[in-house]
Amino acid sequence: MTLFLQRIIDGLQNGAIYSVVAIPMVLIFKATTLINFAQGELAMIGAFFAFVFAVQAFSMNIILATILAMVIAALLGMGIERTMLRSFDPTDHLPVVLITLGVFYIVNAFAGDIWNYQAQANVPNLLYDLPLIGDWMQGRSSFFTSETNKLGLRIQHDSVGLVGALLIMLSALHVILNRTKMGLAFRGVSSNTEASRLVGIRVGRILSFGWGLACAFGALGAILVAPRITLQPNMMLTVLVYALAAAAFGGLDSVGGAALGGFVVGLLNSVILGYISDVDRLSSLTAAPLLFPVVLLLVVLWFKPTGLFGTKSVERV
Amino acid sequence: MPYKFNSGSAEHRMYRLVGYGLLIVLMLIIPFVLPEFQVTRLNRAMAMAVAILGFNLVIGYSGLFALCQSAFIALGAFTSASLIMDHGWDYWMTIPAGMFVSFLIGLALGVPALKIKGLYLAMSTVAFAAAFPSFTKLEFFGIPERTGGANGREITEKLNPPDWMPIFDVTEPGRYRYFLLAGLALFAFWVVGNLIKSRPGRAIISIRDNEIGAAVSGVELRRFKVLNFGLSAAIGGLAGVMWAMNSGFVAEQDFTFVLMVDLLVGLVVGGVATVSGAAIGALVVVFGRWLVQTYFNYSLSAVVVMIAVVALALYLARQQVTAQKKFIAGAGTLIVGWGIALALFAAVDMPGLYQLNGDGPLSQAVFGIVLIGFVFFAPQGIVGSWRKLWIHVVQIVPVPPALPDGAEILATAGVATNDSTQG
Repeated sequence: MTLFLQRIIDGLQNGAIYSVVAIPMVLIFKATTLINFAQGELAMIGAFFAFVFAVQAFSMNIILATILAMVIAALLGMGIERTMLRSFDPTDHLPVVLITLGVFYIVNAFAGDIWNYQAQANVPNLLYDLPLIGDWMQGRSSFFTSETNKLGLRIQHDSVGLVGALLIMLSALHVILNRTKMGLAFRGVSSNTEASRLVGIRVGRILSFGWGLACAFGALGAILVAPRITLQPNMMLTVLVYALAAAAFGGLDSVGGAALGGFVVGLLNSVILGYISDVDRLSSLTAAPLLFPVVLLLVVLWFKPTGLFGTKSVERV
Repeated sequence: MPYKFNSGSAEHRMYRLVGYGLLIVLMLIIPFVLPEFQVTRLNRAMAMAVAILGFNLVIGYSGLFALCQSAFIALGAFTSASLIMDHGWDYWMTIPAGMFVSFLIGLALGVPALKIKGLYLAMSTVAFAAAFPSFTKLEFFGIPERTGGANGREITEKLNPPDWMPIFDVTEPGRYRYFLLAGLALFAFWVVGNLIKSRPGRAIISIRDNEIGAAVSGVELRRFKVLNFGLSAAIGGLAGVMWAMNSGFVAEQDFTFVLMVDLLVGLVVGGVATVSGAAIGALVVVFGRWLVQTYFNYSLSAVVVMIAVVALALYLARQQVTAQKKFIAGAGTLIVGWGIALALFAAVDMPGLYQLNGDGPLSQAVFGIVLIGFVFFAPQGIVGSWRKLWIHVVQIVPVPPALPDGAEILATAGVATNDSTQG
């Protein structure tokens, strides 16, 4: 029983990481109906920016560094959208897929050239430096410690923080998308671009807004998970596969679905693989076999091609 | 004024004969001109060419986004390695075996592809390609023992020239392998080239152009989509066996997502939906990577300057109206800009301007830039752009097929002649 509970906790911990990458992907899909394969890499570069500001160059406060990194990542995303993707018809898939893959290559290579492919030491943990709850996050609580607690479970304190941060991100997104004028316009563009243009929404600005929002949240997510999965240029490669599975599970145009999908993928992965394989290999995220998310992806898409919460599009002849 | 002749005329036959003759002569001479290590690289390019050819069947001709060709290469290569080492098979016998294994997995993936559309398919296949290297380490049915797991599998029995063949040196087996692989590659190109001109080929293309229209015209979508998927995978498997034949060593690190993007770069650079583009794209990818790694040893700052020049060239080219002016503006800015940049780099000669090891990750960045550049400015690839230029030199005028006796052309004369005759 303890083992089972432990696996559920592990699964939820990993699930939060997958959700964090899947959510921006879904945001971009909603805005531009394309899958941004470079999403993981853009998030990764955001985490590196924060690392540079906080540790390598300026020894800033990590909160300030995070905000700066989010702004830079947002500008980067907007720039990519404006210069590379705007001119293509999003319904013609080949060019946009190729361009996001090209961006993936370029960003990954530049990060590798600047920072090497080794994991960075002294990666700051944003959660530890938060006011009020930072001390608690550092494990000065008897229940959420990195050691085994009274129930025989190992709950990593920063995973709890990660799940909390994810919920805050989701609520922030909910407010931005549902309570602001920009969010209303965004939802309009995402449901019908032509009609939005006709009622006077500036579609280009909304696309930029969507990319900026997605990249900023992606960078925040990467900064949050970097202490867990090590900070290095390839940190998002395996996470990307899980995140794709999560996004497909929830439906590519549902933010909440992507968050839920991340947790489901993490849970199923941890519980099912935990019983058919040895536990040791699963404890580290990067060495886990990726068979499971791929099979899940194919099964979900086979039975529910638009995911659980995705909007079904009707094709007219 | 281009030189014109009718399709199927004696001139056309001569033209084709000379073209293919030159190609064969070139292919016969090249391995004896290049040094051994380059011939090995050329062999890998041939394996890549066959893989891109299969890739093109799915992406270019049928418009399905299956981005997992690297996994099929891996399947072919690992099947070959395992059969040779564990069961004492001959290299040649593993060709059908590797193709068959890839074909089966391709069919298995092709069935979900019937329902999964567009970007969802791209997503699931990218996930499959990215995950495949880790599958080789799965502890099922002794897979790690067969694939060698993380260390890779060495095929100790190499493909070496037999003793009775005096023209090949045993110490330099690359040339011998070149001729074997070239034969296989030519065969694959011949098959695919004919396939896409045949009835099933036209059915596949019609699915890409208009799925509903194709279905209405009686094309069985399910059968052609799944078969096309399987066929493309089988060709990928052939490429994998060729890979194993050339290197004698297969390791999961060779078949990662990077290989998949390399194949995609080759596909786009060569030309989507062209047969010869696969060969050209593969040559560009394999030799381009080598060139970049050997000679492109500038530091990041230099790369940034170069990208800025490229961006400027692209911007200026965009401002122009006609194709010629675009070309002149773009190429001119590139040449002048890079000339100035290189001269400046040479003049300044500050430390840190050059990277000491050229095989850094920057070659990857160059590939990404090339990919994006082609998507923007030459979406038809090298072959497509070449055809656009060559049409000003030689034009082959299509002739409608001969009518059976007694039949009449009902349409007016203007329809029967092809539009390309006007240009």
